[in-house]
Amino acid sequence: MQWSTPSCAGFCLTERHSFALDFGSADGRSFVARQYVRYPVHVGRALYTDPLDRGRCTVFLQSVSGGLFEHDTVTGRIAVAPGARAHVATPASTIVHTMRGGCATQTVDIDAADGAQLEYLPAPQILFPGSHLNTCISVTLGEEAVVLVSETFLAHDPTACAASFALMDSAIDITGLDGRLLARERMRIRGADWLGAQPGVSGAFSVQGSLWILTQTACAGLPEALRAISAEGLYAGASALPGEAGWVFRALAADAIEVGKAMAAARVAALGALQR
Amino acid sequence: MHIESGIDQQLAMLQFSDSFFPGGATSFSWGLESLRLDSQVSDVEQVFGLLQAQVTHRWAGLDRPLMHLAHQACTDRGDSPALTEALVDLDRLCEAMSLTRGWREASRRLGFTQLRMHADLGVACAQRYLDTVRGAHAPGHLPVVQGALWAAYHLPTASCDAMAVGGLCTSIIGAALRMGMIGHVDGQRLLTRMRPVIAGVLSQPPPARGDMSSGTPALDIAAMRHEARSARLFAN
Repeated sequence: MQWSTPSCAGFCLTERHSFALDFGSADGRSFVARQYVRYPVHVGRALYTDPLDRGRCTVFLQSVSGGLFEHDTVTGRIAVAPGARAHVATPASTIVHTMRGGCATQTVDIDAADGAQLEYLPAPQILFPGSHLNTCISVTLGEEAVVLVSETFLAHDPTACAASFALMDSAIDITGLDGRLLARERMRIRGADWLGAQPGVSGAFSVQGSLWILTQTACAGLPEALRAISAEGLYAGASALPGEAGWVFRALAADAIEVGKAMAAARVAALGALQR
Repeated sequence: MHIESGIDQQLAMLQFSDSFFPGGATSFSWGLESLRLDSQVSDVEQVFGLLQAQVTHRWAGLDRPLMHLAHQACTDRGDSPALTEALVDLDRLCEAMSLTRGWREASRRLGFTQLRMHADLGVACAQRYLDTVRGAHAPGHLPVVQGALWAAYHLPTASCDAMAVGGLCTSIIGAALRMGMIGHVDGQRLLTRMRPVIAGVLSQPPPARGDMSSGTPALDIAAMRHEARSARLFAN
């Protein structure tokens, strides 16, 4: 039996993290090797529901507070050991509640060891009027590791007055094992600009989704498969990332369902091209 | 190559930012052709909206700070190995933050053309950095090259801002003109309307290196879709 778990040195149970998950693997079956969680996050039990990969470990993260509120700071860490395969998701969208000049911050550090596979696919973030959300995802990509990360956001005013969120500040950093920055995006969009239907920003759309397919392994057929994703009312494209860090698929549509379908199709295309 | 202040500086600005200067900018539409082919932009008002998005939500947060940092590096270090090292560092950051392949290649092509032209004009640091780029030690992105070269001429950052953002607007409006979306007078009206927008952007300092950002998802998608088009007028 071959064991493969993250090192103890890299697992810090500090107040810095709201959650920390380490995935290991043995005999082709991946599992949660260690976990730490505190308010406002709840970690569900490990599930094995993927019909294409029975050894893949799926874990749902849930907010017990009912979303993100002003001054919240949620920090997470996910480490995947060599050869381990994990899927981390949320069971529902995250409401980013109305704020009065403050902000909420959410950061996730992902460490994918050599040959590890991780899908971090949280459901959309729904930005309420006045909300200001800072998100930062940092991915360290091992050799032949594959990491899929999704980010989707939309604006919603429950009072139907078309009030906008304040700011969406979303960053992703992808670094190699040597610490070299391969690719970085920092997207900052003010709610007024998002709802303003400005060409080049949101255009005629209101929901944005991105799927980051991060790997330094060649993906034959992936560009064509991603670019073939189309639907009525969907505006989508894909491009190779700098640093040979993989691909990004980006989609805009008028509703979350259409973007969700496109993101699901992109995920299937990515996993197919990577011959998981 | 030192440029005296006053009229000499103004003439240099006009020379380097004029479309007659062989910088290669006329081959690029910066997303406009793709948005037009996708029916996302079709009239003068939408071209104006796109110009605002390009300047306010992309150039101001990403290209401008890189240009300023390169300008500062050139001013601080002079023409030295330390300058090359600083430019390579900025250039690699620009590469990492250039999300779409088509725009990365466009920025590298334009940076290379600027380097080659100014090297031919006798600017020593242009020749040195051109050799670095040719040796595949740096990508040679446009904003980094603009900052370094124009600093080598002792042009102040405010002038560099005006040259860079003016050139970007002229490129996009020129593309709109050639695609038949607008007329000549429309183009001049757009440039006039962009002046207060640009002045507003330039009234603020550029973001720090750690705060560089963009906010144009629709433009990103347009750029991505353009990469795969077999028939197109413009490179991006």
